[in-house]
Amino acid sequence: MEVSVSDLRAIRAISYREVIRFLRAKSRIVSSIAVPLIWFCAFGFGLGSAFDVRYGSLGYAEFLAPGIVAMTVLFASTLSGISIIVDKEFGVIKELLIAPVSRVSLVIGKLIGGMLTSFLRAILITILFCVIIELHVGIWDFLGVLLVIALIAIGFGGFAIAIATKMESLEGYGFIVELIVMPIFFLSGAFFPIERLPSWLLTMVVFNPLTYGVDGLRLFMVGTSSFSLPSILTVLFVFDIVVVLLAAYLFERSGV
Amino acid sequence: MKKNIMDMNEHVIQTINLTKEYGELRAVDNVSLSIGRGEIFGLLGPNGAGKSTTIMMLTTLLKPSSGRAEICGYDVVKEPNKVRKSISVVFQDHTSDEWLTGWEYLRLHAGIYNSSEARIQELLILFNLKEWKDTPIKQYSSGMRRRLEIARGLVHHPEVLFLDEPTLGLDIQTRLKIWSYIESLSREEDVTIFLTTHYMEEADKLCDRIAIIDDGKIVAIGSSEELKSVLNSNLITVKVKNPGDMMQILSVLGMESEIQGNSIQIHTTNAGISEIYDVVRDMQNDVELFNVKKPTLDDVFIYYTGKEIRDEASEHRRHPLMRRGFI
Ligand SMILES: Nc1ncnc2c1ncn2[C@@H]1O[C@H](COP(=O)(O)OP(=O)(O)O)[C@@H](O)[C@H]1O
Ligand SMILES: [Mg+2]
Repeated sequence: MEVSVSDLRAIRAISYREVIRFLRAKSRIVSSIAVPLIWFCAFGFGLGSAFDVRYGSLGYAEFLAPGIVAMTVLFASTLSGISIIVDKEFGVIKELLIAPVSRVSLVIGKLIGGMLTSFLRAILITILFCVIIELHVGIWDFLGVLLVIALIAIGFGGFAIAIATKMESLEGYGFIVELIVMPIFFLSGAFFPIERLPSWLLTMVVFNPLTYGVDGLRLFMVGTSSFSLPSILTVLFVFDIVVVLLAAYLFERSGV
Repeated sequence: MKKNIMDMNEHVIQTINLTKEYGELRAVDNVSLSIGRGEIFGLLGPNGAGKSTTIMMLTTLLKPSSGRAEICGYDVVKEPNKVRKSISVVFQDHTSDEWLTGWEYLRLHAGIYNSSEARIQELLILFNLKEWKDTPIKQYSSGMRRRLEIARGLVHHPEVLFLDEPTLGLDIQTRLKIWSYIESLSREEDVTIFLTTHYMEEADKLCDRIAIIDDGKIVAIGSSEELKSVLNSNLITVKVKNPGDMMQILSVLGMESEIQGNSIQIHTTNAGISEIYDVVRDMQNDVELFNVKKPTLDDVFIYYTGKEIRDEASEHRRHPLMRRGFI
């Protein structure tokens, strides 16, 4: 799998297109901020105050905030799949497939585009958290946050693309994604500390890559984590590489 | 209007028994074509004849079930990337991104092919889109959008441009305009054009050579003139002062004629035209009208396929998601 200069150009052009598509859909920008914020207020303040949950020295809202950033990125990643299906449905993808560039570069272009839009969302959300719950995230920690966001976005974006190559319609895709994404989200330690889970549940959580994304964000945003930084990064890197190769393989084979 | 094809022996597109099967259905059935450099070649056939499938195979988007195809000497299956470098395709349905402006859309593709901004400017001028370049494509008319997509196809100076039903669903004026753009780019861009259509006039006016395709098979191929001359049947209408005399002469010559209104109509072969012309010339002063109607491409089509092409412009619908501005 070699990458040529023209592939790099294609990656740049396609990711640029994804970002423009995001910026032009005003309603999408609003909802991408509003939805996580509603979740955060409902659970962070509602649930948090009702049960007075605490996590070490952290209040529940501080504990939850990184989980909500992870959620934002996870949900945004599924849009990469939607974007592939919509392109397929309208034939837009054919304009790209007749170009003399490798199929992998089309997938990578989509993923990088998805990653950049995730950055935009996550930066807005993180800034909001800094204001609402007075989180203080230093510049180095913020770069760490961006790194983890990129790893989540690429991994789950690739996952979404892999599913999308198998789907003909938006409806079918939406159904499958809801079926998979919700459990991934709830079983990631975004809502609750994983230390006290019963072992059968813990097994599922430990095998969920998002767990490490949430943990990484928590480390950089509020300074605590269940796993060490090297193990978090290792798991996310391996997950990303496996998933991107799988997505590229399925995309190549689907022929579209 | 039409060019003389001088250099016909250099084949830019060559297919041998190209075939595509979808289960039981042979969408494209042993198609063999040779198309020379600089030609405007038309694939004419009704809906479902296999035109789009042929284009998909020639442009590396679909693997043939059997047979071969070469573009600029490169095999479409074995050397897809070399083929992709030499070609461009404008698809049957609009494929441009609605939320981009015309300029951004061309920039995107110029970016992929490493073409210059000067090239984009040049194409905007050629297709008369300069003043619309910063307008979102969503607001373009169908005809403008088609022009933009053809311009997109030309950003990297392709050797072969495939146009799949380029004027489908457009009104007559817009269609005429698109034809003149296609003609001018064939002159100015030195590009071989392979277009499909189910409009007779389009094939007739625009194409140097036409292949008629029906049920996946090529049933006839040649220039419009060649195809028509095969029918060897013309309708001559003559108006004279004494139709009776004229008809008598004709029957002596062994030709059947009939009265329609106050003129005589004769169906005759190509050779028959000059015979009747001789008769008419002798009657010089009595002749009010002499008209030869050569067969049309419609007649040719009916002759070969036994059916008429129906115009199904309503097929060209926009997806409901697109109308709602979902993407
Ligand atoms: N993906 C497909 N699967 C099955 N049949 C197909 C597919 N694509 C096209 N066909 C069939 O192949 C035939 C030729 O289609 P097409 O090439 O689109 O015709 P045209 O472009 O001339 O209208 C049609 O009968 C069509 O229904
Ligand atoms: Mg078609």
